[in-house]
Amino acid sequence: MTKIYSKAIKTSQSIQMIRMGNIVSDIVQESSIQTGVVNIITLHTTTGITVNEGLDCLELDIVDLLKKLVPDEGPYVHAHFLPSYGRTSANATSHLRGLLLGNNAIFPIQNGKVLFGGAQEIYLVELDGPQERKISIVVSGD
Amino acid sequence: MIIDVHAHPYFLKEMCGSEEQVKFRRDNFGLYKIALQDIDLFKRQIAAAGIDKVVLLPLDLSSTAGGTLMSNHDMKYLEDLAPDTFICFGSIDPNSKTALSDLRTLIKDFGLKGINFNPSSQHFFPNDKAILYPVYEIAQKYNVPICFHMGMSWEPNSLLQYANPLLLENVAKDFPDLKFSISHFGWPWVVESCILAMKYTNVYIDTSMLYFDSPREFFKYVFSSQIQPSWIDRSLSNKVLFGSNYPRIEQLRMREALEYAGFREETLHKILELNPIRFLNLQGE
Repeated sequence: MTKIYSKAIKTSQSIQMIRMGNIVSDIVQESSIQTGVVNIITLHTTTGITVNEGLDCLELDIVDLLKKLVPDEGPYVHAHFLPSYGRTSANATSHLRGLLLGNNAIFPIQNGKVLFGGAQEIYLVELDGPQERKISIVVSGD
Repeated sequence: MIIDVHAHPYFLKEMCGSEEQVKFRRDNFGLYKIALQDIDLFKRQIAAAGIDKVVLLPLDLSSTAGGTLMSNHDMKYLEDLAPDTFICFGSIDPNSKTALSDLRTLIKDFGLKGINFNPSSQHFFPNDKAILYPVYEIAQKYNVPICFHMGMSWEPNSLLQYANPLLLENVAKDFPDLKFSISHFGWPWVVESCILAMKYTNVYIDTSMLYFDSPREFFKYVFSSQIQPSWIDRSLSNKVLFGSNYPRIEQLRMREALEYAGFREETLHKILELNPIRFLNLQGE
């Protein structure tokens, strides 16, 4: 059995790490699936989904690292008027930082619960906010 | 109090009544791929950019496109939804027979805070004495500022022949107590815009310009190649207004571009706060 859930999240900062573990756990419980996997997938190209330890200090370090690897200023080609949009693309850094994080995470489900490691937290990483983001959570199993 | 003097409300969910209305706005404003967003999200974006108040601009395109991008009635409604954040202007179609009565309604009945004109999209010459001077007389009488979109416009039905800032010189001279802004820095006529703002005390310029490259790169080009930062610091620090042109670009990115343009801190303070307050008659607030 596979169930697909959708979650909308409004962010409030240009770069922001949003903890998703509790949201995913609640959805897995709601699904009644006891054994299987849960996929957490962002539907955007300027966000990331990643897993790390849920600590404020690490969140700051991760954001700093993303900014260091993809600096705010650079000779980005994705910085020009896009006729099909009617606006200028000015978010190359958001796309490139998202590239480093990927768009999904996967966790096992055991006895109806998400099997987290002791330090693991799931993050939605906003890279071009504030915006309203849609996350798909796919629960598969028995 | 930091004020963005140039934003458009056309894609706020609360103000989008039907798909047909949204399509009209997309087609005539020329912004095709944009998700509708609610006022709560817009406020988050305003806060993230460190902005306190936003001037929202409608446009009456009755003669050239058969409708308004947003009516004055709706602008009044919108301002009432967030009076602490939104400063709503109105718009009239200068080519309409009801232009003057529409203007009086806009000012006296709706209490809107200014008038927005886009000569290039509304297809009029702003120095047309027969059509426009009665409008300017009323605006001057009630001390209502005007925003003129000059220079390059992305709106598909716009024509540059109506958009040279020098078309505003007679207006500046003949209505010395009428405050108006030249939007988009009048780009590419940046020097012309600076000349008018330097010569006439009632002329302001807003920074809502982005035509090539990223906001930071474009501001750097304009303020270091077309003109010099010192022109603004030394001669025009009291005449430049911060404007973003949201939603064609994010307010945060335009704010950052301004901060990186190389102006003195005192100049930035004037552009972001003191000049908009004076232009919008908000000194008492």
